[in-house]
Amino acid sequence: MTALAGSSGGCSGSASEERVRLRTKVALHGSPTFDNALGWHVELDGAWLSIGSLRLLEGAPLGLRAPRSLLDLLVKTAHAHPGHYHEGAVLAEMLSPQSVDLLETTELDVAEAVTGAPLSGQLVLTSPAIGAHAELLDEAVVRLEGVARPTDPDVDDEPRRFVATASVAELGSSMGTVEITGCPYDGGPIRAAGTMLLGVDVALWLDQVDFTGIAPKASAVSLSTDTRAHNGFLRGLAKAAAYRFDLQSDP
Amino acid sequence: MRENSPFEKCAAPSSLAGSLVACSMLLLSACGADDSGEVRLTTWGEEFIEEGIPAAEFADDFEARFDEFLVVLGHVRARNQEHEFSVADTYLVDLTAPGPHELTTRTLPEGDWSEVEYRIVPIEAETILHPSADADARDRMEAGPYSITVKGEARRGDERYTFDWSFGGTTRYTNCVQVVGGRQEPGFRIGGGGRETVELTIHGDHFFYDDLAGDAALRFEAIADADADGDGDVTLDELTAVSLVDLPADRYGTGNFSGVDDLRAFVEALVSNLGHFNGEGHCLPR
Repeated sequence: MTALAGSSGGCSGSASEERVRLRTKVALHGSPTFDNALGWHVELDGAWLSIGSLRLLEGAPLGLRAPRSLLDLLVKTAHAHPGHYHEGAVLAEMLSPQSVDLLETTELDVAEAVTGAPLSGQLVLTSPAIGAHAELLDEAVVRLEGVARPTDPDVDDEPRRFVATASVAELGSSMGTVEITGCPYDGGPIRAAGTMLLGVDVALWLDQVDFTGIAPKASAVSLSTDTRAHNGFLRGLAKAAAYRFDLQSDP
Repeated sequence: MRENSPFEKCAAPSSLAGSLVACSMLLLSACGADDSGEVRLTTWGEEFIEEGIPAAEFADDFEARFDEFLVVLGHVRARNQEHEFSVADTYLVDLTAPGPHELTTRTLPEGDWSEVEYRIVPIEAETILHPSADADARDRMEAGPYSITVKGEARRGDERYTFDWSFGGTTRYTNCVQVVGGRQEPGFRIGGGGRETVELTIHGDHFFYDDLAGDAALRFEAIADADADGDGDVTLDELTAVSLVDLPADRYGTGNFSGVDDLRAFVEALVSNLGHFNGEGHCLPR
């Protein structure tokens, strides 16, 4: 990982950069109740995430957004491309691991930052989880609990209570952490102290999950590994679009 | 064309009768040989499109070749802090023909043209038919209208699959950078009296990437498996029928793309990454 721009060892720092500190908050992006693309209405009862670090980067995400200024065009070398992605310099980073409940807003440790124009965000999930929800998460980096019902009650109106978890190994990492890079950044340039926000779009995690294979029972059923439903869940977790970064300036 | 632009007097005729629209955001005092140079606009599909992609490049031992690789590209624009020029034309080119392919040559004021973009677009009535493509190709592209048609074959041992896919849609490749000595440099530079080649490079192997983000490998197996009717020809409709959730979780990741949930949508998303600049240089696709 590139060092924070302007810090010791950083390669893109300049005399014009100023160091600032950003508060960091994490919350659910959107509603805990939603319909997915495969015909299921989902109500979340709980959503927990084990966060290792958060960063704002100069590199553009793969979402193909417009740079903010001509200066961005000329200065940045952020050319998102499979196999050629350049994340660019780190402009802000929060490095204190924490487990969070996504159904409420959680304030994390302060992020060290330098002034500049981020174009994307990066989230690192870490295992084992630490902090308030470590015991519940156990070895998982994500845990969801909820109820799914078919959106067409004529087909089936049986609620499926489910638990969905994912470990770093299931997300393809053997290192204890999973990096999700190239996440969309909706904020403006970092000019002064403020708040870095991460909104997690859990609806996108579950958008391609077919709950048909979950038996309708009174107690929750776990999404079994190596099933189509769990595969859809893992794919959703890996979508950079599910992690929306933003920046709020202090008043 | 902007009236009374001194730059107009410098513009040389197009090699393919295309019109070059040029303007100057600031008045130039003169356009003599010392303060202008030639830019030669070309396109090339490199060896992967002309000769095929060997099995060593694929992670699943397939090899592929293109029998036809039609692309409509153009609308080139370049600018710097003082000047701007654009090639309004588009060209229909078959990149399986040996290249690089000449598109046009123009004279520009010397200097750094640091902001460059071009487009791949659905064929237009005014699109110039490049000598590498024929009238039949034009008719088929107009039937869409399409911006890209690829026809080819992939093999692995005794397995053989053909594909014939056409895509519409526009991709605008902006902020192109070239790679020079390992460094990325925006746009291109024209020296006084010099001659610079600007190549709109198309990377055909990217059709077979297995990820829209991060590190990607070339694979064909999932495409081959999509051949539901077993006739050996993989159609776009057959790709549509393959949900990504039926593929291994560590492949065909969609990164920051939304709404890419089946294999056809995945390949269509890859189309936006075919365009490059001067070989290995990149652009920001939009």
